[in-house]
Order: sequence, then C-alpha cells, then structure tokens
Amino acid sequence: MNVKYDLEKIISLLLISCVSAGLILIVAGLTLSGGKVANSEEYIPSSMSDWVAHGVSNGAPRALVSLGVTFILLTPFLRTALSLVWFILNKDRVYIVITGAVAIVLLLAIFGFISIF
Amino acid sequence: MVLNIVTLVAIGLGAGFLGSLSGLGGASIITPILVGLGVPVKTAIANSVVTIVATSAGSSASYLRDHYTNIRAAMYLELFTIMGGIIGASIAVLVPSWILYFFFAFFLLASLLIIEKIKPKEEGSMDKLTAILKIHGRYWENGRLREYVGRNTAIGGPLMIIAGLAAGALGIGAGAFKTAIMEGVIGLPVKVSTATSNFIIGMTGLAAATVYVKTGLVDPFIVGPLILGTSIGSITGSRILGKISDKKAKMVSVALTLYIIMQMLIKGVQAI
Repeated sequence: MNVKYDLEKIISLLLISCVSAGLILIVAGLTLSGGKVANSEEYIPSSMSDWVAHGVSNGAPRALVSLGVTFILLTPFLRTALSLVWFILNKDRVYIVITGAVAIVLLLAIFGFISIF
Repeated sequence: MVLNIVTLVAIGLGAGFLGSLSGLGGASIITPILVGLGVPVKTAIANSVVTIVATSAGSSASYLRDHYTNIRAAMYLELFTIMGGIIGASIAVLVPSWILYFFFAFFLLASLLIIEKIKPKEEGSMDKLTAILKIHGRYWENGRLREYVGRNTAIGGPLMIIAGLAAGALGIGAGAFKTAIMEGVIGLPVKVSTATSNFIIGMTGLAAATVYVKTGLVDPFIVGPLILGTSIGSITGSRILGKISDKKAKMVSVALTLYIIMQMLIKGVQAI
C-alpha cells in the first residue's frame, strides 16, 4: 500500500455524512408535512429520479423526504465508487476489476437496465 | 392501507431496537409488523429492504474505524450477494404471496438451526485464490494486535449468492447467515465476520431495492419514517446490548424468531 489515506476511515466518514444528511432531509420533510398520513395507495413513481421529480412537483415535504431516502439508498454505491478510486490509486489490479464489476452491476440496476419485467 | 407517519416511526423504533438487541436486524421485524397491520407482504418487503441500507451504513461506521471490517472480503463477497439480491427480489415480485410467508418462516427457522451448529474455524492456511484476493488482516483486541487469514473463498463466494437471494426475496439483511458463512467457511474471526456482514447487507439491500423501486411498491413517505425510527432504535438497542448478558440477548432472539415464524406461517395459511 503506497497511498497513506486509510480507506476504512474515509468510508466511515462517507457513511456517517450520507446517513446524517439523508436523515436531516427526511426529518425536515416529515416535519413540514405536519405528520399527515402516508398513503400507500396513491401514485408512487417507479424510479429514484422520478421520486424526486414527483416530490418536487408535489411540494417541499415530499421532495425533501424523497431526496433524503434516495441519498441514503445510494450510499452503498457511493462507497463502491470511492473504493474504486482508492484501488486505482493503489494500483491494486485484482480489486480494480472486482470493485469495477460491482459498480457496473449497481449502475445498471439503479438505472433499471437489469430487470426481468 | 393508510399508515400514519407517527405509527411508522414507532414501528421503526421498536424494530430497530429489538433488531439490534436480538441480532435479527430491524428489517426482519418490520416486515412481520407491517404484515400484521394488514400491509400486503410484497409492499412490506419492498419498503423494509430500504431501511437495511440505512441501518447498515450507520452501524458500519464505528466498525470501520476500529478496523474490524475487511473491505476486500466485503468487495469480493458483494459481487455475489448483489447478484443474489437482484435475482431474489425479482423472484419475490413474481411468485404468489403465500410462498413468501412460508419462505420467510422457513429461512428464519433454518438460520436459527444452522447458526447453532456452526463452529468458528480460525485455524488454517490460505489457499491460492484467497491469497490472490488478499483476504487477511489484523485488528486490535484487548490491547493486542490479532492477525488473521481467510481461506475457502472459492466456496464462500458462491455461497453468498444464497444469502443474497434470501435477503432480496424477503427484504431482510440475512446478516446471521452471512456471518455464519464468513466464520464457518472463510474462517474469519467473529468480530471481523460480524462487522463485514453488517457492511455487506447495505449493499445487498441496495441491489434488491433497485428491483422493488421499479415495481412502484417503494414509497419514500413510508420508507422515510421507518428509516428514522430504525436508525434511532438500533443505536439504542446496541447500547443496551453491551449491558445485558449474552444469555438474555439470546433468549430475546429465540423468542422473537419463534414468534415471527408462527405469525408468518399463520398468514401464509390464510393467504393460500
């Protein structure tokens, strides 16, 4: 290992920041909504980007909560991307391939390209 | 089905608390609670899977700082769990609901029985693949540095597809199952297995969630309050876990597991 930065510490920091930011957004959205009912029977968009878009067109509470949930949901992807950069900097070929493969599968899944429907 | 935000936060709190106290994980408890309140099982699974990502990230942060988590082992095993997670979630969307109730009960029962049997095997030498994958490490325990090496990664990896499949199909972390593979097959120390499993379940959760999001079953307004609740609940649970005896924690775990198994079996029979 020739790069000094400790990957564990960097990822730990990333996870804490992402979850905190997501929770703050969720709390803000829920507070603004005034604790109204969460009705699961209304229209629910079927992608993360549509959640946020639908939220934005339906007022601040929904936009904030959607953004917060999306943020938290994407943390594992963000830490994969960060690990990939770290492995590239450390010229760790085996893990550039493994992490790269995980990142590609996740990207395809997030954008809805992996599906049997 | 209409659920109040306050109710959802409370469900998350209770599930997060009991989940970290029992080692079952919050999601394994959220799904039975939601189902008990009349939420369709697929909706319950789809929404609880998202909470796993938050709980995993929150609890992994301190394990990472203490160097218990083996990031290389996690990366390699995630390659398998994410495939399992995506396939499992897709199967869950397609099959009739009653199958999911029975599978849920069966998987919890199997985990309960298998995990009792697994004995950690920390001795042994590295094989070729494990050496290439550099799955070894060291961490501080009680003031001394402990070194460990992995092995059997050629078997341990593919086994993780099964763990991912169950996690994806049932919307749970399947953490105990993943820990069992890491301890019993790959030979990682208990602390490293627990920390690394905690880390991996978030990734598996995301992979499965992508499938459920596409079906339109995941509602940010249901997930948001649940995440808030489980985050606070699991932190409280882990604090208390350090203060109660292993025997008490084990009793909570077994009692809770048996209760959930019964509830899911009853629901399953009703759904046929």
